[in-house]
Amino acid sequence: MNASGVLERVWLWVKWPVIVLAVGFVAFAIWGTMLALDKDKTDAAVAQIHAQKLTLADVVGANLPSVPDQAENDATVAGIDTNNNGIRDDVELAIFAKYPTSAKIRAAALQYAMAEQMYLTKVFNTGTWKAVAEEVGRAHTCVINAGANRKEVEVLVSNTQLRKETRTKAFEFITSHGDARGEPCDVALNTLPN
Amino acid sequence: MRCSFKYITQLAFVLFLFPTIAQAACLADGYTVVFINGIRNTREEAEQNKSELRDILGVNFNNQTIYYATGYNATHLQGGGDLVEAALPQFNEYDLQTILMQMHDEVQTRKLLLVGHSQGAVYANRLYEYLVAHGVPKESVAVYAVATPTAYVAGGGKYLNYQADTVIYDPLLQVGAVVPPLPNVLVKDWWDNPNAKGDNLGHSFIDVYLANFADRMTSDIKSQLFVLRSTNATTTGGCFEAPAKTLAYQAMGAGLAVGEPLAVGVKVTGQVGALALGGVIKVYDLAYAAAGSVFGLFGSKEDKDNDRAAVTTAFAAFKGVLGSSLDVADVNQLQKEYGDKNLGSAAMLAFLPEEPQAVPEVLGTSTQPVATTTATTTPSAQVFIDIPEAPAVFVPDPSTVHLNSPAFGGPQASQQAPAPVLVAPTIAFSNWTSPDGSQFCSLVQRTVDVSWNAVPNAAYYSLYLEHASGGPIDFGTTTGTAWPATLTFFGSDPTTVTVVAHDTGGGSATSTMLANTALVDQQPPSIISFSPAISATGIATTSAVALTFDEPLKASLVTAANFTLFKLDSIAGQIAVDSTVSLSGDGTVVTMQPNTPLTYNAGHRLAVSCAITDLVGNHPASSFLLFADLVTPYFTTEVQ
Repeated sequence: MNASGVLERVWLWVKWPVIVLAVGFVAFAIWGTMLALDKDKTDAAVAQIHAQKLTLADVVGANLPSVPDQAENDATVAGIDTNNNGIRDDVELAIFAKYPTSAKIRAAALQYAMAEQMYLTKVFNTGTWKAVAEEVGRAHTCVINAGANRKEVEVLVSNTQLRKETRTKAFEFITSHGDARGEPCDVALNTLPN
Repeated sequence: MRCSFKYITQLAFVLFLFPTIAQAACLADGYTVVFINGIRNTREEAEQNKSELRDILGVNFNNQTIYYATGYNATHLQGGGDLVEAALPQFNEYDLQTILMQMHDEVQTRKLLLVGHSQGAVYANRLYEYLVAHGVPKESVAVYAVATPTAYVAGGGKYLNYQADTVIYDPLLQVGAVVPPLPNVLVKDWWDNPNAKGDNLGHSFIDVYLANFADRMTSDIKSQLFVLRSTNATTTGGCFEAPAKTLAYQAMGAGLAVGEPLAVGVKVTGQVGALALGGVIKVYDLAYAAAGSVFGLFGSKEDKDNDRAAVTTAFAAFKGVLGSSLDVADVNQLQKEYGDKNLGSAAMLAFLPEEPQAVPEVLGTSTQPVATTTATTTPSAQVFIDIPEAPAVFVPDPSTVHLNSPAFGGPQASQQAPAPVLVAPTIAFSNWTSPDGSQFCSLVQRTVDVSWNAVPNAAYYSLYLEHASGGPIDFGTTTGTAWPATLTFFGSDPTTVTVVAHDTGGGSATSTMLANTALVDQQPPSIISFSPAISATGIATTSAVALTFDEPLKASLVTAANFTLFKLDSIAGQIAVDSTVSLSGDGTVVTMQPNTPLTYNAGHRLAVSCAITDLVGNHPASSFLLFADLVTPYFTTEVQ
């Protein structure tokens, strides 16, 4: 048997394993690319969640929205947020109505409302749920420091069956987590007069 | 191509190089409390447990911050897997490793307390053992177990187990080698605790343990935090060595991922046993609750104070009819000691003769019959009082006749003393005001005092405020007939105020009233004429500016700060003109008289602050400034 014949015989034996490996490698590369793309999307969403902060203008009411139409506001999970500060208009107005004389409590309650709203609008996988939970945890510490009422805000944010169900669905992605690091309050309480 | 290479590289990194050990700190300052949930929780409840724990413990202790983390104990196979794990905890390695890996980056303080509820307490023990074996000094970590199914608490930690925990002390769940500890809070403690406000029966972390024994839990936990030490703290590196993500671990994860969808179908044979066990538990719970209802030993979610009040009221009514030498204090004492709250006890106590037998001294060491004498109108029989005592498993004995059993002569619902009917309060609003000081046009702020008439038999009142665009806001309660603080409304949002009168027996009467709209003027003030006219030219340098409004303004807000004239300047943009501002007698005309002559041949503009209001507090409708355009002048002065 000449060399060509030997090679042909070897190829006959290794052909299918090589083909299987090649196909596997291609599939692996495609899957890996999709995984990486998904990771990029999650990373961007997580960064956005952590970047959303309450401002002093929100606390003093400089951007206070007008009263939304209730039916329109409750027709969607996200509701109406005309001033784009991450806090639903109806929730923002309710917090101002209840705490007109305490900027500290408003600051904490508004921050907590902003974080809770993200359970409804920003969660699509475990990574995003964790990021929101970390921000909710940080806001919770702020709420305790300010003497605000966490449960009151939760009721305001999840005020319809649709929103309650959406929140519950978001928790399907629950995982172990801590609080977001850094100062608990976006607007330092000691900078507020009352 | 380059992009693909990048992703493939990333993937290789993810697959082959994890777990990546984050270089987190392990600080001496601060505490981390990790909550590990148990079984039979929804996912939201698992997180809610930690939130409630944070609420009662707070975020500072010993001048240091308390950080919180959730060590999530996942539910597998639609709950069936948890039941198997609970019975046979040796099969929970996968969850333990997952929690440890996920905890690694979250724990950044040396002092660490693991708080486990139910099955989570078993995990807390295992986590403790792992941590101590992987870099955490014993004096830096502790376990606190709530509703623990195992008598062992790692590191000599404390525990809190309630005698009437329907899961831990349920004999049907005592399978395998796991033996729960003796309960260290009893039903008697529930009665004795004036702050208890939760269920008197059950396993829930929030509704049973936190709602009833928060003080005890806080005290226990803080005592454990206090003795933790920051040995070997470091500013670099993690607090412990995380477990490696082995092939076996990943295989188990893949198996669960496949098993989850199958479990939804509830038809997979391997899970039928576990699910059946769950069914048995549910049926048992229901039967247990039903037994409680029949024998009156346990209620459902009723407030303890209401129960006591109801028994007291019923006792007084029965005593009036039947006579008894016992008084209300005796009843309450008996209630406390028997852990009983049913109205039947009131009836039976009232049936006691004028010279009663000595009130039975309860507090024995085991469940035992106590003989009492019954009235002639009731069957001649011995009455047994159920005396739950530790460490007995707390299950009502259906063969025991309870004092409060309706079957034994206790009252039916129709026999209870009728409670006085409350009438709805009449709400009144007064002192509508609009506080000065707001700088925002869009903000219409008003305050008002709310009061109501005194309702006969009302013990206290609660107040709610509801915007048309949101749910009701609970403002709390008061015993007075006026809300102690002034209420504030924003915008023209129709807002209702609801006042509810409550009596001590749980009765209430509600009144609701629209608060703001139509009661006060909602129209913002607006300028109806300008002098000089808009875009006028050749205006004398000594001219004054006069603005006429469509309604009177609040005089105190007509100031130089709120009405400003500017000279347009090519370099500075604008320069304020020093002016004296005055208001006409009828309050509608504002005059701005420059204190020095205006500059010749110069454009001017006007700024009116939104801080001004009409007499009832309406701010201007739209903007902070009039003629905000720095190019187009309001008017131009004459040429010299």
